[in-house]
Amino acid sequence: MTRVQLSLRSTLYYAGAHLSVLAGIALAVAVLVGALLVGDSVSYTLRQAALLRLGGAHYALDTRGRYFPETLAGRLQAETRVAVAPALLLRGVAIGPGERQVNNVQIIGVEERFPGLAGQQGIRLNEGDVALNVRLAAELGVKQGDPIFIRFSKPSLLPLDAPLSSRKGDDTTRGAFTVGAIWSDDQSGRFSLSANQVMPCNAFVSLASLQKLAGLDGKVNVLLAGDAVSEERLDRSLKAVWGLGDMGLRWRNSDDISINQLESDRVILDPGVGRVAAGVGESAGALTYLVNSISREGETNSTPYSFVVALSPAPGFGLVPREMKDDEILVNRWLADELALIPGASVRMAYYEFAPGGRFAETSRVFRVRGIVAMESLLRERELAPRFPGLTDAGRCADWDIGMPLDPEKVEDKPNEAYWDAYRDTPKAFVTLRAGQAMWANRFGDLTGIRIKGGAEARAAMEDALRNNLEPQEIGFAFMPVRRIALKAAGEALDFGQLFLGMSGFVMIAALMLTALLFSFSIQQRSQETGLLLAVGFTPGRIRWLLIQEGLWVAVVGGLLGAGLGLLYTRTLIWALGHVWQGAVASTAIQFHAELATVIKGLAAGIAMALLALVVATWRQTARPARELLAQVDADLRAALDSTVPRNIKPGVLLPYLGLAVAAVLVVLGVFKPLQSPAELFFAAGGLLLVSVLGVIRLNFIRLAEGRGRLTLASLGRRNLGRRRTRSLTIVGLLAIGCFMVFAVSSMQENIEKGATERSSGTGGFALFGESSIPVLADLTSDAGWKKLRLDQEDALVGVTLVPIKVRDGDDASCLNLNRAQSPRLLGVNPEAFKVRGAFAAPWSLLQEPLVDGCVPGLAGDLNTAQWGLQKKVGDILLFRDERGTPFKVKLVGALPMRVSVFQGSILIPLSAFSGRYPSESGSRIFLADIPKGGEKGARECLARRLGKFGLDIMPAVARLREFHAVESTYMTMFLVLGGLGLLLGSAGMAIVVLRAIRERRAEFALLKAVGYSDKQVRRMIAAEHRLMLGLGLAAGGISSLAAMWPNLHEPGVSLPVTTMLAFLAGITLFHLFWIGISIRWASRVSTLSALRNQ
Amino acid sequence: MTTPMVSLKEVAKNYPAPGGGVVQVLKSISLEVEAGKSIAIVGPSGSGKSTLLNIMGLLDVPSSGSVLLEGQNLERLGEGDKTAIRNRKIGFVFQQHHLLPQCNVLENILVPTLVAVSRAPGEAESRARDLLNQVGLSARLEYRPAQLSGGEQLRVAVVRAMINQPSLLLADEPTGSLDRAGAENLGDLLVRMNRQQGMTLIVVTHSLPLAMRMDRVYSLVDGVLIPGNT
Repeated sequence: MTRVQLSLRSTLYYAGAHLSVLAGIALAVAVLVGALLVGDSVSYTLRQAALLRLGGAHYALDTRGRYFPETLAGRLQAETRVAVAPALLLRGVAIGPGERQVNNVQIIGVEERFPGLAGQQGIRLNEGDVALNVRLAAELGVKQGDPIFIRFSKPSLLPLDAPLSSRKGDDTTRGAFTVGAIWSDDQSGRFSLSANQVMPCNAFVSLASLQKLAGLDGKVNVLLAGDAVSEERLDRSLKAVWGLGDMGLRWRNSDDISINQLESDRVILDPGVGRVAAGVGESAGALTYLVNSISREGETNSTPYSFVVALSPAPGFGLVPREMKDDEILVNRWLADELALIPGASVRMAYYEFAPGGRFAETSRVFRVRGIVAMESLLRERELAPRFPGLTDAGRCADWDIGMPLDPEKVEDKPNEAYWDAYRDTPKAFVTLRAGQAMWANRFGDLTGIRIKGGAEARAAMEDALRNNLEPQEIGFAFMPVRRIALKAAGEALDFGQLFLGMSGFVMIAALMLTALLFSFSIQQRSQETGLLLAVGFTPGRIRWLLIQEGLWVAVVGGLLGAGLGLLYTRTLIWALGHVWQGAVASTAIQFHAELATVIKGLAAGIAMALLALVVATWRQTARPARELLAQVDADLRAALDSTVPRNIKPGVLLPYLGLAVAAVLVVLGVFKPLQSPAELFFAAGGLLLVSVLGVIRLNFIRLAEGRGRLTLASLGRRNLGRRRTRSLTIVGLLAIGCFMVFAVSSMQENIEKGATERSSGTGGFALFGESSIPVLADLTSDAGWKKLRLDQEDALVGVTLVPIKVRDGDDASCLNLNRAQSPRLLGVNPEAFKVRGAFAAPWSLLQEPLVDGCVPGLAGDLNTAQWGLQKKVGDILLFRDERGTPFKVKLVGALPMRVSVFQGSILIPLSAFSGRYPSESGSRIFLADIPKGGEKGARECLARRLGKFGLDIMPAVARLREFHAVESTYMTMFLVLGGLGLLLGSAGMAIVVLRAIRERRAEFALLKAVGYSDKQVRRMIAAEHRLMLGLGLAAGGISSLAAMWPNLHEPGVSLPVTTMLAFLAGITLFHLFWIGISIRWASRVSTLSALRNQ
Repeated sequence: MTTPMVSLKEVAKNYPAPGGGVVQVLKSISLEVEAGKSIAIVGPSGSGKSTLLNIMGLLDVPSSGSVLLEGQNLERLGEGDKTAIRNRKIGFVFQQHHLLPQCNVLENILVPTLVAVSRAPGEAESRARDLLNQVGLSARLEYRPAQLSGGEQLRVAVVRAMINQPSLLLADEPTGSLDRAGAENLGDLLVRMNRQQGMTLIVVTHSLPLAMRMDRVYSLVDGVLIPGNT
């Protein structure tokens, strides 16, 4: 017989004894494998969701507020030989029967090339038909054939916030459609370019219908491309095929065609275009602006609202001569006559400066009249005047519709009206380009035209230069590797495997500790066998190896069983995530998925941990003399006999007390000295306290074993704790750790509504939080804005103030998005609006201070956003691209100082920086409302009604907190449930130990009965022993958890979870008492006589 | 006529046999042991000596017949009453000693006193020390059972059996694990206790020398108790 055979035979012979060990290992492996497989399943689900939402699209060009010809797709496809599909992507609302409105809908205009890329084949959308995705259909409550409306803000080529932009964009467009189909996930129903597993609300219509409805004939703003080699190749190909029209540029010629003026659909040229043009031969820049008034200096007489052209002082391009100085002005004859101007006279020009936040501030500048231009000489300038929609197409001045505030009285100025009738937008004056740009350059640019001389050849040269030298990114044309980003976001998502491993860790530890305990019981039972092997010449090492081999067989079988159970455990957890803990995964349906590699990894790790536990259990038992083993003196007894608490100071005695002292110092330090992150300190102090208290208990167990003090019936029982102190300490430790974890975590349960009206809370003290699908262009901080939207007529809104916030859509970095946000949503805020209110108790002034490194200062929406959503800390840099494709850095200068705020998932940057980077992000989409007490309901209803057409979702700010908090709260619940499971396991362990101890001590109890102890007295003795063990465990865990709980208890909305704690204590106590009762009852049934005989 | 300390009347004990039927271990045994006397029961292994002793010590019940202790029929007594009688009136010395490993010598001896209602703790301890002195273990008060020799452990068990001053001392193979000298010493101790304390002593033993030192000797053969020479 070989040693392996011996170990196998022993394993089989003691199979009964090994069953409990096997069960413990199986449980530990099941928990480990199960937790890891939840991670697999969540990753798989996110990956699938990412692939479904993109279909066959690998790259996407999303120009947001810019629109370009859809024909670019065909040209690009021909160049790259990769499928490219155009789409028009707008955001709006859908209205179903009974005016049921769903906000935040993606309205997607698609044609036949889109479905192929988005994963769907052979479905065409007829004009007038709409295909809804499953979620939108469900939310609208519609089916195929039902009529619905779609409403969105009519797009404008000129950014709606631009100074001379028409504000008709505040009006929305509504189209009627019939539900032609309901598209499932695999029919591209989930299509979205943002990295979020939450299904969007999608309405697909034919591209032509949407273009017609939006007034964007032939234009799109999205290109989807298939599997190209790289985004760089796509960008290169784009440069090869794009033309002036794709760039949103066009030529305008003067009648004599001697001058060609390059203009933009957006009126103001992108800076990149100006840069390229400046390098092409001779050219001149022009900037046309509408000034508020021109008056003779020192006189009140003025002419209102005049077009003034700033021109490069270059000969042949216009009227501004090379020698003209920046403080000089040329005026036309009409203006000279109107204001009685002669050369050398001083004129004051008043104009609006475009301030951050879309506000206008009037300022003025004085010029000296250099000359007077005859009206006949202005024909070319009239022909080259830029076309401002709502302005240059108006019949009379009074009909002007532009973003700048106009004085109604001045608009109706009769001489000016007469000028408009006669000369329309012919400029009244000219200044140098430098002077003009100094006055009117804004975030959109500083040129309205570039003039070159010559014919077709010159134009071709400029076009070539633009094609070759203008980088697509400079005007917002950048292909993004959306598929790669999506898979990266899914890959970097919160690791649910680790999360569940952490949460189930205690169950696993408990299972392993019990496994070790049970294995040591089994070895102790066989001490004679061990002694015999020693006696016949086996070395302790060989015996240990034999026993470990036995453990290995048990661990392998238990592990395999556990792996199988792990699959069940995963399914149970996934079921719980779908039915009980939906909050943890933002209601995402998680699909079960098991990777063989994960199972093997979990199995191997589980077996390794189990073996380690078994080795520890084996070590002590085999390191004893054969004599003792043959005499069946067990290891615990031997240790109890041998060890005493040293009377003098020794490290073993000193350490627990030292630990207590350090823990106390940490707690005192944390209480009296406010710290950056006190939770970690207190948790560490609590943990140290727990370990130290367990150390002190261990010393006391040794003292108990020494048998000091008077002998009483109870002390007789208690001494047994010291006699078997390894197992006693295991049970006390299990109970204490479980209790500590459960209590400490339950203290993190926050009542989010408590203190939510405070300015320092996550609501900032605001009553309502609103988010619209369509931007509101009106300035809701001004009377004019309120008047425009007729909010001033509502009694329910008296005393209400609104704080509008601009939004640049990005990835949601809140806990509702399981993916890792790659480019989080940016909010442009006016820090002063919050600072004056003391809202959120945040360091708002940090947003107002420019950073020396050129970064934009940013605040994370709350602590959870920084810590979990972004995994960034103060000082970290986040990279973004502005709408022209230029990268810029946002430096986190802080975070809103609460775990959950209404801004969770976003980065807040100053409005000025926001508008500079995203000039086309017109209007505001988020609104916070301050409402007089008691008026919340009325104001909410009123705002919802008045701003309903913008798709405004308005809710109590605390309700938004509740939505976010649901995730955290669910995590807590999961932890408590799994922690409770660990405690139950600890309790079950205690039950096993009680039964085992009673079995071992049958003879002792029999003797006591023989010498006159009644059953009751024996029971009382056993109960005293185990009650003490229970009490010590709960007290050690409970007291230590108080230290860990301390900082949480000082958070607003958090209080000592007395009910939860008492419920847990009561539950665990009752459970233990039940097991103690069962064990004692079983002990009482043992025959005294047989116990004495069987000793 | 004085009441006997122990009276057995036609006591029988049967066990179910493995293959069915019963095994008669004790067959209609009648015995009277007067107070202050000592008797020895001898017999081959498996003859039922320990069973008989356990029945007399109220640790076991007869299949038929009755047991009287100081004239009191114990047949109808509940377990609680029997426990109280064991504590008050009966002392046991087991072959395996059954000392509590977590207690030292003195504490092991005091264990029965913890549930005795009538004795003050100080008095019990003083008596324990006195008895330990008598058996030569006064220097071993603080020792744990594992630190004692087999003979010493047995002497502790004897002292424990006598701590509550029982009127009946039952000893089951007390010298089984001792050498000849040790067995003699124990015999001396038991006889001395019997004589000095006046307690009735019933010893089950294989040791003829020990048996011969008792007032009477009985042999248990095939379940029948046969009186022997005094």
